[in-house]
Amino acid sequence: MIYVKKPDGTIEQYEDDMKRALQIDKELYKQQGNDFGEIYTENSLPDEDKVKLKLLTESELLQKNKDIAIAQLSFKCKKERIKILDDTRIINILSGATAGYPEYLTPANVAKLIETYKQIYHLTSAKILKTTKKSEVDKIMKELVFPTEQDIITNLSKG
Amino acid sequence: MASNELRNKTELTSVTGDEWVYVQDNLTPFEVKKISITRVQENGIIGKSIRLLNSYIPISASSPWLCMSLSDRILTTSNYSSDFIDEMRSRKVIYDEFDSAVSAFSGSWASNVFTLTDNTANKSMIAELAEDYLFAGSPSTGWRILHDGTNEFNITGISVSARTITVNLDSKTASGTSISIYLNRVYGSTTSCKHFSWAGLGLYMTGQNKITGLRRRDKFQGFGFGSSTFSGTGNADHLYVSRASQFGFGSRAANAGAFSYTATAGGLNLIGDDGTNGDPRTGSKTEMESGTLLAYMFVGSYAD
Repeated sequence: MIYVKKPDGTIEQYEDDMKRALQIDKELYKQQGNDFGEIYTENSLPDEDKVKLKLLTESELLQKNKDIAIAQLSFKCKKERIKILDDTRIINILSGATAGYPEYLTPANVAKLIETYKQIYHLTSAKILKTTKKSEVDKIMKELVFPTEQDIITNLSKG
Repeated sequence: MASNELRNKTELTSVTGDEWVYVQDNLTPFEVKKISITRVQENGIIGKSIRLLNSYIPISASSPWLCMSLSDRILTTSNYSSDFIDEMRSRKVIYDEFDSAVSAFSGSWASNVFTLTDNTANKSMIAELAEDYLFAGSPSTGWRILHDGTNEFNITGISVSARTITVNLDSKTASGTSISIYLNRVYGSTTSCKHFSWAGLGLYMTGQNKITGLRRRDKFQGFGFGSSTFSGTGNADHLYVSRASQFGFGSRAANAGAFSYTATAGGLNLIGDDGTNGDPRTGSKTEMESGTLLAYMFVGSYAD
């Protein structure tokens, strides 16, 4: 199916073979200075509209939002860890090539550092999985805080 | 051999342009006239024959050929033969011209809106008509003319998805169960026709569901980006879009269930030198490498 979300928010449905016709109409509207709306396929239709059309249930949408948040969480954890210690330096430390590195960068401390981010990931993803609303997922992601480089160094130096 | 001597046809191995031919001018009483073979060669079918020249020759009594690159304009019987004007005024949109040749498109009127019946001919026709309408800038006058069998109307709107054509009734009533679209008529006139410029246009061989006489905008084959799928063990670089709506280039980490990638802020520069073919040449329209010529249509006769 093809879906047209009109400027007033209503959604019209068309058979697949109407895509070209709708595209021409959209161009005609634009040429005359009018807003035709947006043309979507079932895949590209925004999730909230899929729910309106019952192509997606509320619980499926919540699960999708959780999956997305967890994927973003994974990405952020890795990005934050790389800011402090990138993959190349980790390999160097684990292989003993530590010349020029601070003393606290030992294999044991590298493991601790990685565990710090794994903990953030696992604790946060567990919280996300328990949510019952998208707003709760958004709140968790918004309030997500990572340790600063100074926090990490202080922590590793103690150990 | 003298030039005015009748020669055996086997001797005429080439035509120099100095030869003459006799043509029937009238059946009853039977009459013939003698005209130069050059004139015969240069004549064509009024309103239909096209010839190509590599320089501009303005239309004149001695060269009754209309340059198709000239801007949009109205041609009248003041300058052009009525045969030519009539021929142009008779031209209409014909779907599947080689076979079913549909020129009356069925449907029904509701006030100033004609809704075409849902069939192949109508759907193809309105899509092609809309293409020309877009080309023209969707005007409300001076374009193709809709005829309901009784009255003619200016087209003021088209919806391909709804199969509707909206017209300006101009104090008339639209009726009937079919319409025709005239390509070169001028609203309210029987002694003139409209020329639509071909300047800058390539030529498209019509046939199938394409309609002779309508213009087509440039386009290129559509394409899309999709997620890469991995079935092998290789870690080659891939372009991917993740389910988290992140977009980038990356490589699949060995024995890992997720991607590692090095997407950078600012996204991708999709237009660039591919290392072989140089910087892309971009423009407002898609064109092919071209020669440049002028096309002319035979108008029969012309008077300044």
